[in-house]
Amino acid sequence: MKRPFLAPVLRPLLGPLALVAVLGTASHSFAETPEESAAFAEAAAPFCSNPPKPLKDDQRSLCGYASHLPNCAAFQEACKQPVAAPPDLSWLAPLAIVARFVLYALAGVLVIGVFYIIFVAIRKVINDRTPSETPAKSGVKVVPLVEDAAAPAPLPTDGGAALLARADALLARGEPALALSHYLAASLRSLDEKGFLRIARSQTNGEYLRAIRDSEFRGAVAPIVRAVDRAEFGSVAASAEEVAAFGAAARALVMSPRRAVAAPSPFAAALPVAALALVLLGCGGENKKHGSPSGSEYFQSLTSRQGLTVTPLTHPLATLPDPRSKDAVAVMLNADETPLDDETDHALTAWVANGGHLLLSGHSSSWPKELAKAMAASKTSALEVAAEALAKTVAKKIPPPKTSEVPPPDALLLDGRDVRLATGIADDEEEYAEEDADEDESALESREPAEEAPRIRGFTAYSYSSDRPGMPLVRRGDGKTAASLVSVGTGTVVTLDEADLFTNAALAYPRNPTIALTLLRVAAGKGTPSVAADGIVRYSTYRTIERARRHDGRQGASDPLSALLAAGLRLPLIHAAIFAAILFFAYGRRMGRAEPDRLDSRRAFAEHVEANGLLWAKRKFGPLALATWARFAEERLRARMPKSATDPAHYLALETGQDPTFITEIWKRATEQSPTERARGDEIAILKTLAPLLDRLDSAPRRTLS
Amino acid sequence: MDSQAFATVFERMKSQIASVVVGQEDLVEGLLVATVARGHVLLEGAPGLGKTLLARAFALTTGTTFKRIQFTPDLMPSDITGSSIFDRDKGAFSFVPGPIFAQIVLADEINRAPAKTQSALLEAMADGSVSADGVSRKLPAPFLVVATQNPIESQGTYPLPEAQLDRFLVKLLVENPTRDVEARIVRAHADGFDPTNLNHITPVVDASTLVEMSHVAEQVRVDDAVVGYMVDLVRRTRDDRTIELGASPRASIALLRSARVVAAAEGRDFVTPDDVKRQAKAILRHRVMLHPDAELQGIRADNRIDEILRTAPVPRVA
Repeated sequence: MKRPFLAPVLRPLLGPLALVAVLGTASHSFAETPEESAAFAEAAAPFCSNPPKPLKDDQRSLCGYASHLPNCAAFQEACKQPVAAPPDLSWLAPLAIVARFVLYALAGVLVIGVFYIIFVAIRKVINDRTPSETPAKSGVKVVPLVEDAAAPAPLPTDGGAALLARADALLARGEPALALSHYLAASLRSLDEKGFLRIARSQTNGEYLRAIRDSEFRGAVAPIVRAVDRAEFGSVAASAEEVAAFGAAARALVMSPRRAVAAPSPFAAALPVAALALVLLGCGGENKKHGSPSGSEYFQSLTSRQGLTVTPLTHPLATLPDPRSKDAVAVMLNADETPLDDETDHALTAWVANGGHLLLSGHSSSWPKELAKAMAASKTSALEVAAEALAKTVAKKIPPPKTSEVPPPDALLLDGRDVRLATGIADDEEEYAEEDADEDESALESREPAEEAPRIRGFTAYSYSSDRPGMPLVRRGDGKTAASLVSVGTGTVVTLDEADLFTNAALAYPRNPTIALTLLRVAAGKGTPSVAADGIVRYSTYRTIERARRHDGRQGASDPLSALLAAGLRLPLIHAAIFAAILFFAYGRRMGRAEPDRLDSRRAFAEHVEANGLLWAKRKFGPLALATWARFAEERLRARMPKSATDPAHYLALETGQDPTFITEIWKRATEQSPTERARGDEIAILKTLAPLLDRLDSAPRRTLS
Repeated sequence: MDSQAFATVFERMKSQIASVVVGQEDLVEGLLVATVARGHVLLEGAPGLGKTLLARAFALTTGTTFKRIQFTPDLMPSDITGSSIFDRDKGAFSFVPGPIFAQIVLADEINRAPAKTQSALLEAMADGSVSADGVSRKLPAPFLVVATQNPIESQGTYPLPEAQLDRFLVKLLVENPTRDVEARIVRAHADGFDPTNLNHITPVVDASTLVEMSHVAEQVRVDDAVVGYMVDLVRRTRDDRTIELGASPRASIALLRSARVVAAAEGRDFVTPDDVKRQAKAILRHRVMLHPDAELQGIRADNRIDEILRTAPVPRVA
């Protein structure tokens, strides 16, 4: 049955599929020719000859390559070094708890500080834009000049020089009293600008004078201050000549270049320390003389030599430009390194579906969920049809591959089996088809055979031989698919089920540069591919490849709260809210309790005594509590007793209807109590018996004993 | 006497007393200001800081009569004011004046006497006269009560009531001396200084000069803006949430009187806001009653007055 050729639909897919047809040959001819591998034969890899010791975790994860890399004995040796056991830091656990709270508190202070800085900045901007309010800052009322025809343009009112000019103008206009005030204002403002004092509305002229530590400036300002005070509060105006002399002194002061030597700010003082620490400790980067197996120097060299442009991502993944535009880019995303939030995942999936080209590496479990779902649901029929046609063409051009070379089990291989299978079917090389069909028997059983031609079925069967969607591009030594091409909407995703391929260690392996380069070309190629005699596929032009960094997968916060939550401060925020609520209610309760309107004139003393008594009672200081209360109670009783009464205890008993004998007895016990005496155990009981009686007496209307 | 002469005499008195009471220049100045302003002084400080020495040196410097009353729980009002005693020879009662009949009276540890005895001082301090046996007797002028109290001890003491505290023009705090000052004091004692023998102090002024100085101070000009500033400061003590009872208008008047003396002491015939500000704490600290919560939080009256001074705008005429 002949299938219709869906040219418009398949056109975007032809390039990648053509590559698929060629890859098998490429893998087998790799050892002889690919120029990209030659770059790495020029010199021994630095990490092979001088690896960092000890290896970090990410470097150690690449040790699988060590035994397969030429001239890499040092790296192998480093890999054999036992992993140092982490030091026992369990004793730090209590400190960690404290440190956690301290960090939370510091974070809170930091947030408050940021808000405060913003507030101050806004206030400053507002003040700067309101010229009429500026003179108030100086504490000196600046009188505006009366506009007339001869008057010059309005002078700025801020700054010592401006005030000085205004004072000169006032003097010239025959207003020496106002000019004198302005000369003082100019002097003080200038000294403020020079750092000798701080102007405030609550400061007196005398305080300004005493605040000036510089004797020369103080000597210059002192006569002006005296003259101003005399004029303002003593009604003795200075003469125009005197004012002119003060003006000269003020001018010299304003024009003086001397400034106060300010103590370095904590920030400025911390800078040298931080710089020293950076010099001594480094900033955490890799030491270049060692090189790192997990570095990306080879990747950069490979792509630049092969004419591919790889740059950092210029837009967040959530806001990538239209993939159908002329300058559309291909995106390279390591899902292990760049986690995506849900919104970014959704936006990236839509971008791919609209025609974007993505090279997605990293373990499949970390792939963005929505994108993975879209890939799993992708329709591959178009791919299959195109593959059929291209496979025929390529198979005629390229001889069957040789299979003498046995790769290591953990090495990546360009998936030549697709080609073999397709070409085999197309060109009646049925041994390949049978071989592959046997190997993928389980997959065939689990999937419904396609209704189309057997050739298609065979290809399809192999394409789905793994649990990865799409068309396989790369397999591992054990036959598992490592990379595949998936169509999502009108875009494509080249998936690579690991992220190590683009590291120095992986690219140092002789086969892998071709694999990496092929995947990049498939992801970034534009137009129709051409197949060279060596089997390498090339495109006429390539899109710029933009590589996502760690932070590109998360959108910027839309508000401060989201930013705090995104920074992992959810729990501290909850703590802060709880603490704020507790403080609010505690403070409000105290303020509510202390309403001044309901207090009598002696409430301070009474409450003080009661609070002390309660505190001592709680602390089991019975003798002290009883003795203090007894003194207070006796004073209150005597103040209340009529003149005819002499015995407070008797008066208390009569007023409260108690047994006078009993009350007299415990009253005596209370008044004889010494604060320093050893407790007998009955102090609190006596206190609890007598205190309510006194309270009842205080609330009862006063009456006489007569 | 003009302002300049006032300033000269004031400075001489200050130097004379400061030569005996080492390192307490502010205290000496406060005492002199209160004296010229016809006010009374409450000194608060721990024992041994020279309060009695200060009062005695002051009396000798001003050439006034000096009496000391040690307040104790059993001190009776008549022990202060004096009482009528039957004179057998004359066959009649004759009044024997108490120690209150002096120009400088040192009421040592005033809070050790009960309220009834303390109140005996009220009339004397307020009116400058003493009533005994139905007869009002005028006290000598100038009349100054210098009372002392110890802020630490509370056992066996009777805190002065607010009404009586208000009678004192200023409350001055006697702080511990710095190390250098203390070394100078010890050095002076090592060199033979005897605090009980102050005969080497010669009077700089006499009582009539002090009275004249008071008259001069009362002539010092006070601008309306400065009066407004005084009132603002006092009113702010009533609006402060941590102050339960603010200062009374008597405090405003006290500010006026003492600021005038400060101005005159600097040779000026007008008061500036700076004069007011310098006297504010001494005038106000004993006239405000803090809220109990504020007291428990360790806030002191001086803290709140500082805050008021820090926030109250200073008047400027121009």
